[in-house]
Amino acid sequence: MFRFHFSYTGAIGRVNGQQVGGRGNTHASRTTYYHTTHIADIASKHLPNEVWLKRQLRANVNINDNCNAFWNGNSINFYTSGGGCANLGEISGVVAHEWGHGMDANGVAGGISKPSGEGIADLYAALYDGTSCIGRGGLSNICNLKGDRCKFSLGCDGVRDIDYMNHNSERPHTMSWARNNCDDSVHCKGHVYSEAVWSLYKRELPAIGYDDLTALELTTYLLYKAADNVEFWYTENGIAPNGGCGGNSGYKAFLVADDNDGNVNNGTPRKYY
Amino acid sequence: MSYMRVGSADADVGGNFDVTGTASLRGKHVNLVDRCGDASLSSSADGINWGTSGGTDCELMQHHINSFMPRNV
Repeated sequence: MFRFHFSYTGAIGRVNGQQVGGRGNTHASRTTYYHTTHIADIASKHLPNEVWLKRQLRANVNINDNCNAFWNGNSINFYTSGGGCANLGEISGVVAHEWGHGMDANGVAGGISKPSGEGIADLYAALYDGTSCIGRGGLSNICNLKGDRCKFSLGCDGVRDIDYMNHNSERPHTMSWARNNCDDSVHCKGHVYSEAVWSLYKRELPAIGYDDLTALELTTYLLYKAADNVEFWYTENGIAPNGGCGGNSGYKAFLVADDNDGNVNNGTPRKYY
Repeated sequence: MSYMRVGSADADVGGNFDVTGTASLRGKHVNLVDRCGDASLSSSADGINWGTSGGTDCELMQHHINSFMPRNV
């Protein structure tokens, strides 16, 4: 007799071995629906009056190309697998990142924040996933920031790692470093402030007594409150007021978010600055 | 799934719903469009189960012949 063994490797969802839900019930469609819904719900709790969060966002998955995902001003979009990349609609960190561009573009300040909107999109993804490795599982290689490779031993196969200690240099990628190394790469420039906020979560808040979970919750709260109002995270020439401490800067927005008496000059409760 | 459209109403944040009808991956926050095709599932007494899958992209279920073994029986 002939004996056949069947293995089931299709992308379409199955129940008891039977495909269900139609050809669009794929790994990517379920993953993107779930994570977009979840992060939007979290954001809505922090920003209950945000109009954009009350709208239904279109998400396109399984677009026949590879190695990219993008926000186009109205929708989030994800390519199929290939070229050394996974299907990016199947990767939660990539889904959260692209949603983050939409959040950034539709905040109170309006428009993609400067000089790079990539850092804030990375932060939304990192705090959502609870990892500095952005889009883990998305690539076939370990990430590499302009020659400062992510530590091989940590296995970050995402697009970036926003914890500078997870890079071989173990040094922050500062504004000066970015000026000398990033060229026109907005993904690279985003490290300047995404690493700072990640360090707030992983280093600054723990240093004043917060446990990891509380620090994550607090950083997430501050990020949503602050980022909504940020126009410039920093300016590349480093000149005040937008070099780091001026109005509409990322640093100032974090202080305002943390303030409890309308006067940041007398300190804020967390005293992380 | 949270807020999933079922019939003429959305499920709640916990995915609970009290209507019958066809479910789709549309909801309060997302309108999911899959280039592989449409996704819909009728609700039943057991609820709505989109299932799981191990493959990627638009793959249909693939049958692999792992052994081809003539035997005398």
